[in-house]
Amino acid sequence: MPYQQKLVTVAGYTVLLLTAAIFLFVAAQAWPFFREQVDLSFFTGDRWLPVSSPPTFQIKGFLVSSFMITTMAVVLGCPIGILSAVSLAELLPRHVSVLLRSVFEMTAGIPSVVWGFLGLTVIAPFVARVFNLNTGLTGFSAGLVLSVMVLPTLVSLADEALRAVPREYAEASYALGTTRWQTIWRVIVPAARGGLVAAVLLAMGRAIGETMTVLMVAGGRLTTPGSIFEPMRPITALIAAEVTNAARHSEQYHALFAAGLVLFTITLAVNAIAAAVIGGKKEAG
Amino acid sequence: MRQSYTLPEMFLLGALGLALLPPLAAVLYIFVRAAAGISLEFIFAMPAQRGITGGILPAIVGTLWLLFGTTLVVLPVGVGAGVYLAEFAPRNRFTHLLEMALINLAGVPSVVFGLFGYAFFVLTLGFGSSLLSASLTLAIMTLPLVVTATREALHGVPGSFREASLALGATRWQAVSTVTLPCARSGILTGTLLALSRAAGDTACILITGAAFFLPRLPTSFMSRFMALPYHLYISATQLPGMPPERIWATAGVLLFLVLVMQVSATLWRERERRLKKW
Repeated sequence: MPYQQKLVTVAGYTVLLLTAAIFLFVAAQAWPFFREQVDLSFFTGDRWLPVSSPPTFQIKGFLVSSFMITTMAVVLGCPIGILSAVSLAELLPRHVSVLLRSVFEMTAGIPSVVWGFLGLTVIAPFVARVFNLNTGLTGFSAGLVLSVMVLPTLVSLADEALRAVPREYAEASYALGTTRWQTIWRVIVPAARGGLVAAVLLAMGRAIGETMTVLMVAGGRLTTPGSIFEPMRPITALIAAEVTNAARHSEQYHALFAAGLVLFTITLAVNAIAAAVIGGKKEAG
Repeated sequence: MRQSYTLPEMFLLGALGLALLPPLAAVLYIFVRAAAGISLEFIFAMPAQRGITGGILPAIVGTLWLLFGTTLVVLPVGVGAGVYLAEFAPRNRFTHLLEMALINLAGVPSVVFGLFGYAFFVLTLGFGSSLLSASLTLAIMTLPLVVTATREALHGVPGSFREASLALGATRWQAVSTVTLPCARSGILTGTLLALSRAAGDTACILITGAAFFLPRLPTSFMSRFMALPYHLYISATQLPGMPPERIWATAGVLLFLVLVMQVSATLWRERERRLKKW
């Protein structure tokens, strides 16, 4: 085997090694915290008090915030995203679809800090006025911005799933005298169901992991929010806001890594479910 | 295909319009608002008075340094891994595990990469808050994108090219390095450019691994702390009440312009190559 081939093999193994290393390293930094933690109050408690003595670290409020904002982004984004993908894959002439796919790809590149800035200056004041709130920096505003941000992921994956349906299915359907509308909803969309579910899950994974937008727009209150119209802080924003201020190996440092490990585990689970949905469909088909 | 649409189909097209409108309006709005704050001084001068006057040159240069550092690391490793997966990896459980790792790495939130980079590069290896730590962290973040782009580009080269090369007596490595890899080159480079545009806009990673808000000098080495456009935008927008709004919009405009130029040139390049290719 020439040495160049050995080098690319090493590069390939690096990917696997790196993924394992990141998970293990974050887990190792979180371990001192979980070792001291005898009950589940880390997940069920509402108090995050890093500087009081003794300090308390409980993340229910951040988990609930992440859940609320993600749910809102996905619920708002999904119908629009999937209908857009159907338009791209089935309705528009090919050259128009090609162009619009590039436009979607471009919008995926708008940095999240730019979205956060727009949320802060445009969306939050608007939300405050419409809903008559003291501050527009709420989970609602963050969810609204995130629903736009997940669209490119959602549309491109859903579009891909729809286009992967063999052309013969549609042709067989048309041969039976159906309209385009019937063919889309009775044949193509059901055939692409697995891929569409995976697209929604992966968009959800993106929304959970999104950091800058929620840090800037969601408001930053540390306790469990009672409704989406309150200021809140998702788990990603907690980590970004506090980690550089925590002294190394302090309790807060380890607690933040514990929060990071929880976030990591959630996104891995969402990805694994999406992969299983796609994989399961392949075996069935 | 028929070009007339029924009423419910127009409803679907309306949804597509609704999906495209906010990002396009956002881009336009930012450029319009940014125009008031853009000047030669803003782009080419050092900042003064905690960034309230002067320019943002160190933030622009810092972001370019970051991209350079990220490219140095991610290009060889990412392309190498992509070549391995597309050309040499045996069909077995280990390769399947590797593919799973790749998918999972792509789904990791950038703040988790930042957390890892902080604990590993900044603290454990002692690189400190520096360009080096941030570049390495961004390289890990963009690695799955580059690997995937490389693998897909190589899969797009017809198998007959490889077979013809092998039939002429080339070794597997010669077939890859002289035939398939050159054919896939433009796909690999456009994919890498797209990945780097992500790195240019990322804030969560560099916020944790070494960006500074006010450093009125250019970075001198990879061990320096640095200013960067996305972090500058974040701090100006959230932590500095005295910052004139047109300067914040102008910073957002410069960042967006940089990222979009990378994205659009990658896309146009790819479309051009697609048209030119005969296979």
